[in-house]
Amino acid sequence: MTKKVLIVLKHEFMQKVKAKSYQILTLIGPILLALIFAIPILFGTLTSHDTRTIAVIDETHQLFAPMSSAHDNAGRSGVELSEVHTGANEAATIDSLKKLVLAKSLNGYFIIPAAALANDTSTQRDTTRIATLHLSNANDMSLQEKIKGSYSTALTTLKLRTLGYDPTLFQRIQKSASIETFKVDTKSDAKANAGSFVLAYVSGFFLYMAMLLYGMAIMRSVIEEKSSRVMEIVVSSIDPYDLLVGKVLGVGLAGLLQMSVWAIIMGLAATVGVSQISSMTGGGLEMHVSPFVFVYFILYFGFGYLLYATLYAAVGATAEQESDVQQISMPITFLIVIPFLTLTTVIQSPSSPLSIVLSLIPFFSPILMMGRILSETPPLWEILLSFVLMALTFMGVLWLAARIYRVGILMYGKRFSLSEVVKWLKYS
Amino acid sequence: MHIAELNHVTKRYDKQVAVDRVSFSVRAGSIFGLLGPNGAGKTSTIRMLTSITLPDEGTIALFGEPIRAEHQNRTGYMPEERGLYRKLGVRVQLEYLGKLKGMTSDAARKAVDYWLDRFELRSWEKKKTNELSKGMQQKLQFITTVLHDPELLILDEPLSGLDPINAELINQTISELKAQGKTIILSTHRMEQVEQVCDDIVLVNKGRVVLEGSLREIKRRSGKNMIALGFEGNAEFLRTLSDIRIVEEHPNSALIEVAAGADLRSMISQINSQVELVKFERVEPPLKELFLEAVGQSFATPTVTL
Repeated sequence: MTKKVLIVLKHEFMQKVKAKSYQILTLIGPILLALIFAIPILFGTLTSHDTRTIAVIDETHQLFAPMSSAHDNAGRSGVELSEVHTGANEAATIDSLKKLVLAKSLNGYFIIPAAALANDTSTQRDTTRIATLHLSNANDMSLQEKIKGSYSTALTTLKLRTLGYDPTLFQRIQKSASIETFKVDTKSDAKANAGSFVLAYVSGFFLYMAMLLYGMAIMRSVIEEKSSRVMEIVVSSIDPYDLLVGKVLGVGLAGLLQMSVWAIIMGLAATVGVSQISSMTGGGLEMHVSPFVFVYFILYFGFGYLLYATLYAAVGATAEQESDVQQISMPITFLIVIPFLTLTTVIQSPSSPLSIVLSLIPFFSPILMMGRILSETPPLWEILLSFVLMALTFMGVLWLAARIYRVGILMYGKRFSLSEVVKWLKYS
Repeated sequence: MHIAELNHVTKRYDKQVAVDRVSFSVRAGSIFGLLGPNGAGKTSTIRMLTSITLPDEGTIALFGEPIRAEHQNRTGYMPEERGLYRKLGVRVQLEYLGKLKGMTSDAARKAVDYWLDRFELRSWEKKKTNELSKGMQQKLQFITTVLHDPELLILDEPLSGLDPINAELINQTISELKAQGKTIILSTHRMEQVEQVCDDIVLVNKGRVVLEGSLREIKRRSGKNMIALGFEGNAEFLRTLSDIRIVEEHPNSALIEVAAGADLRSMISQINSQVELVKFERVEPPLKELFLEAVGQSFATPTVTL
């Protein structure tokens, strides 16, 4: 790295950090993020005023009554439980319930297996004893939490009574100690853990925002140099490649600083907040974050940023004003948006072939592989492979971008076209 | 010693040849005019001299050695298309551009102090560049060119858009820099400025050198007999003269070119019989005239065959 790269790096970093918009965003970023997460929850509580009906098939014939009373006792309004007696042919009943759900006249059904009350002889998890909840809207977290809460209270109370204990013991224990929650899964949501889901989503959101925000910042900075015509003076002082590298690194460091501030604020908020959210939703928010995760996060941010920043810089070099660039930058913006949109799918089944393939595509790796790491650590070789692929892609992108940049920054009065850029590649 | 030497330099863009086997040298301490019509290849030549682009063929030497990127620190360039960071503060801007030219922070700060005082911009140092008037921005632009005390200055139309006061300030500074031994390459369309300050010139057209040498030598070599006339009366008499070409015609003066060996005495008496002649002086051909001829443009004034 030459001395001039450092001069550009320092200048770009200082200009970015000194800007009011940067300082404000650094401070209110976490608040914005909190709002983005809070709004769906708010909507959830607002819409939950209309009553949802859940049919309950109780194969034990004992649990529905305590569950229903626990439901009423806990004041879980907005959800009505109604028992369905299956008779001989349970499958037919389930089938007709399914039709009702699809017809939207029922919100879902809950099946308590006969084995639910069997003696707890084994510490192993036994799927035949797990109740299943089938919903028309599997994303309705508050509904899931309510059913789960009532069911677990009923089950625990009943079992305690069977074993000869005072059922109120349960409430007392629950108040004084952390809860051992039973995993109640919907079929499509087999392994999702709310805590890791939130973490993976937050990290994806951060990476998405950061790559988009800082990439665009680089692009605007290149266009500003070009449209103000200061570029000619700058490149009579420094090699365009050094300028590009200094600019990308300078803005990147400012970005890293901003992310660190956010991480600290959010970390502090999380330690205070998670326990509260947990108690609000009735448990299930467990966040286990190893320090490795932070290292991965920084690395994925770094690679993702470098990839997109160089691409955006090249795009900036093809334009004379910001208005020129809307269309040209679209494909790159898509590359950032796609992994963000597929993130939910990938987190839900992190080891599916689709998830593996998507998360190995270098432009998607930062958001998707990070999401997989947070939801269920993938094999190390996949993580390493993603880094190798990103590094190779970055070298290719840098090679291409540097050439487009070198020619583009001094080219005026030409409309961008692919054939034009191919010509530029030949010049340099 | 030559500060800059171009040897058969060629630069192509796509299929178009912008600079075609151009050779010239710039003497140390001189003011060198790089002239030519728009699109002649001047900017392409300058971009190679400033290491912004590389020649496709031929060689360039700066400061007596083959050109390399480090030479950028010893060169100051003022492009025709002026440009500064619009949103940067005046001082931040100057110090940054100075450091990009290899100055230490300390040296940059001191040089900025000096030039801001010199150009009376000190009270503006904290303002953003786009808050300055156009004239002040141009002074700022000039400062970015000279801040790092370059040995070679390349000025492309340094006076364009300047009011007479600022133009005088820049002109003075240019003469001062020359007195300090700096070399200046001046690219301009203002022939009167070239005649005032340039020692040597090169004239390029369509990428090629068409005229080169010291200004005086070129004028002498042109072999043109130019006469400046001053008179009282109707200029119609000019049309009665034979063996001349009217170069310029004004109400009470004219510039004519006379054929070699023409009888000047009889010409004077012929003129005197029609108007009162107050001036009849042999002069050097104006550069504009040589420029137009070399570039092959047609003349605006009516011509008489010699």
